Amino acid sequence: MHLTNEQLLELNKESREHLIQCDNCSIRAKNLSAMRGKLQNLAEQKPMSDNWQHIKASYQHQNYDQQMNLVNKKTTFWRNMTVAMAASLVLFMAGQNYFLNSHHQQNFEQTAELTRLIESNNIIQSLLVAQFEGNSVDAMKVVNLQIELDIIDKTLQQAYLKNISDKEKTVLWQQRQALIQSSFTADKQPKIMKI
Amino acid sequence: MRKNSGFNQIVSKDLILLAQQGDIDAFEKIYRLFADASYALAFRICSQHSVAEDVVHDAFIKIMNNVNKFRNDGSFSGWCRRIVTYEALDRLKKSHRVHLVNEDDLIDGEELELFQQDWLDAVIDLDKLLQQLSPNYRAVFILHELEGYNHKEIAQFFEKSESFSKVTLNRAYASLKKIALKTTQELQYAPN
Repeated sequence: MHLTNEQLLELNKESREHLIQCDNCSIRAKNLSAMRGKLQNLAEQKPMSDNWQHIKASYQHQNYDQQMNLVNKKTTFWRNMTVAMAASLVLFMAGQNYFLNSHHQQNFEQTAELTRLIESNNIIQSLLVAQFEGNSVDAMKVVNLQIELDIIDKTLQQAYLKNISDKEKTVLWQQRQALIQSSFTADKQPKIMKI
Repeated sequence: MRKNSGFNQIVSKDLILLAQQGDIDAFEKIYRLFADASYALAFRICSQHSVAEDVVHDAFIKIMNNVNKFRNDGSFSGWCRRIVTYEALDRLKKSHRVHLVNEDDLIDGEELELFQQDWLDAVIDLDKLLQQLSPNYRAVFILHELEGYNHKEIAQFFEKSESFSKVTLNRAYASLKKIALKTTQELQYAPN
């Protein structure tokens, strides 16, 4: 029984042993080997042009797109945060009107202090957004800040709904401001002055 | 793999490390090492210069994007060669809707005469001859006979059984013999 073509094409131990004793298969194996020799000597095909610059440009473009997508995601987050902040302010203003109408300038100075705190919160948050958009920022840092701000904002909203004292609200706004300020990189800490 | 294949070149660990750190110059050096071999492999499988250039382009983007996944558990050139092969086969499947041999077709009339003579002896342009093979015959033939992949590896590339690779290679040889004899005959009877 002779070796099949498939056996000849990928010889195993038994097929090799068979070749030693079978002249017919041995000739077939030699012919195959000669043809393979010609195939091995085929010249290396060369590309018609040097495509490295094209590949490099595509790779860099792809990387740029990926980075832009990351930045866009962060920007969307901060836009959402600003919207949330605005919602908090609307709630605050509604609460403040109610407060002013019902208490007729009672403890007006405390309220003015609170307004200044909210304004400075707004300013430093804008500065932080600008810093985050302009630099590569640790994604975990952004997420952690988002969570912590979310907790304080919800507490603030509850504070206005429950109409707690301005003193307590001031503490919450101060905490919020301190949290945002701590998120700036060391050399870019903004100086918030009282207006 | 052929002795003169560009994929025989060894890439230093330092160069791989630089590439893994995103060094664009390191990528260029790797490209220069394997560009010709990648192109040759892609062209022999796809049979078109423009497609082969696209294959090399896309394969190198993949190499650059995935270089950090290379774990030194094999040769870097082998890893690159596999990416180029997958890319070329992918193009081939998309452009030709490659007909794969059914498992039912495995019982085939065995042609024992196939290797009774060296019918490639009279062939002048072997590359041109290979281009006349049908796309899937050519792909399996190139991968086994020129690139040195075994049936198991080829089966993985095509997501088929080893029998598929064995039968396709056998048929590719039979088809190549037919084309070679026809070409030789035409040359003999061609007017001077």
